[in-house]
Amino acid sequence: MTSVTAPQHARPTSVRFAAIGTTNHVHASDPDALVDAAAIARDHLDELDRAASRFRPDSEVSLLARLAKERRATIYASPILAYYLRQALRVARLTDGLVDPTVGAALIAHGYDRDLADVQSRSAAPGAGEAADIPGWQEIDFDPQTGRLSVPAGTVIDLGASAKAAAADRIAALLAARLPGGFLVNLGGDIAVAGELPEGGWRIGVERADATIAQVVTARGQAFATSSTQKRTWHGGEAHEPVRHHILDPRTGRSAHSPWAQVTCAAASALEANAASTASIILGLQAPEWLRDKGIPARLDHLDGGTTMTPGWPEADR
Amino acid sequence: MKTPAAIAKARLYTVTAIAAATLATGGITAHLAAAHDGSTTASTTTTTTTNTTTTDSTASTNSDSSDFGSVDSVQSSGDSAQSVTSGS
Repeated sequence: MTSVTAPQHARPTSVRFAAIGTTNHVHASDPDALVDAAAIARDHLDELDRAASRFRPDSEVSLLARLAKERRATIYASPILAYYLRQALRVARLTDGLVDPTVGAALIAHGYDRDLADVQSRSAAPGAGEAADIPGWQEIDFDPQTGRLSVPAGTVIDLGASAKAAAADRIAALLAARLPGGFLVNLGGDIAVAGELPEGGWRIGVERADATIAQVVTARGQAFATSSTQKRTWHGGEAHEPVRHHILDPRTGRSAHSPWAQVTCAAASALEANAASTASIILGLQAPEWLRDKGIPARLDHLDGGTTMTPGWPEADR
Repeated sequence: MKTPAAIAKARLYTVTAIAAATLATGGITAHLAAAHDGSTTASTTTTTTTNTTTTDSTASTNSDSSDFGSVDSVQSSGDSAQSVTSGS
């Protein structure tokens, strides 16, 4: 092994790594904190994956799905699953059920039944787009004090719409509590910041599906998230069926039919930003008014190339 | 809690990856995309279910609230991005 010492002026300030099915970045204002910050982030995401991935047969979520295949099932969730389930249920409340953690079986029926790379490598998804029943988040019986978790028959918990953002918040807070300086945690585009702000704040680019930067804004404590109908996509079983994507409308059990290519939101936490951006995709043309009512600064990019901003989001300068 | 051995191993792994990536990228950004060594995944996180409130200069939220927290306006930046938010 070659030992390398980087020159002082060129010390890394960010780390990129793959985990929970996406690409993640941790940025540190103090390069001395970067190694420990990366280790903390990776450990936390590994623990989350072991508990909540529906693509791992040994996860608690998969165990619960197997137990609930034919009848109501109960488990006692680990502390980490309990934490993230609590966040998912909060997102469901924030969005009046538009973002629902019980869509797992519907996602599977819709073709999202394995890691995205494997889904996309198939010529067509099985099931020809048949929608599965969605039990509904209010059918989850969960006691956060004991971790007792009971779900109706047929329930597959999917935390994909909330856990990544919640983890960004949690990891950013952990890093700020344990290490010096400031941190930006970016988990697949869900961004949380904590600790000391760098001079001028953190600079966040809003990236389009073609990887071009649409706009750069400054984060001074706000969190950001973008939801897209253009990236996690795959082909369905019908010749003329629209390309499917991962944001399911729980009212139909199918990919949300949305006029938006992507929606980017700023909020007090990445969890809230992602809840707002995902709900906006599902709400479609009602989204700008809903976001205004909630006080969420947002940028909505229309499929036809137009852009809509809500109050609090700056006009694009490029 | 993570054991001292796990901490040392995680640090060694990460430092090695950063050093290698620093050479390859000119030292700006480290890339740790290689498969993760499972032995570094010892539990380090104490999770709680207590309510928390996070407050800073521009955003505040209550972790159990059914309402969105308040957030300040977003400002444009004339510089290049440090990190990007993209749809997932």
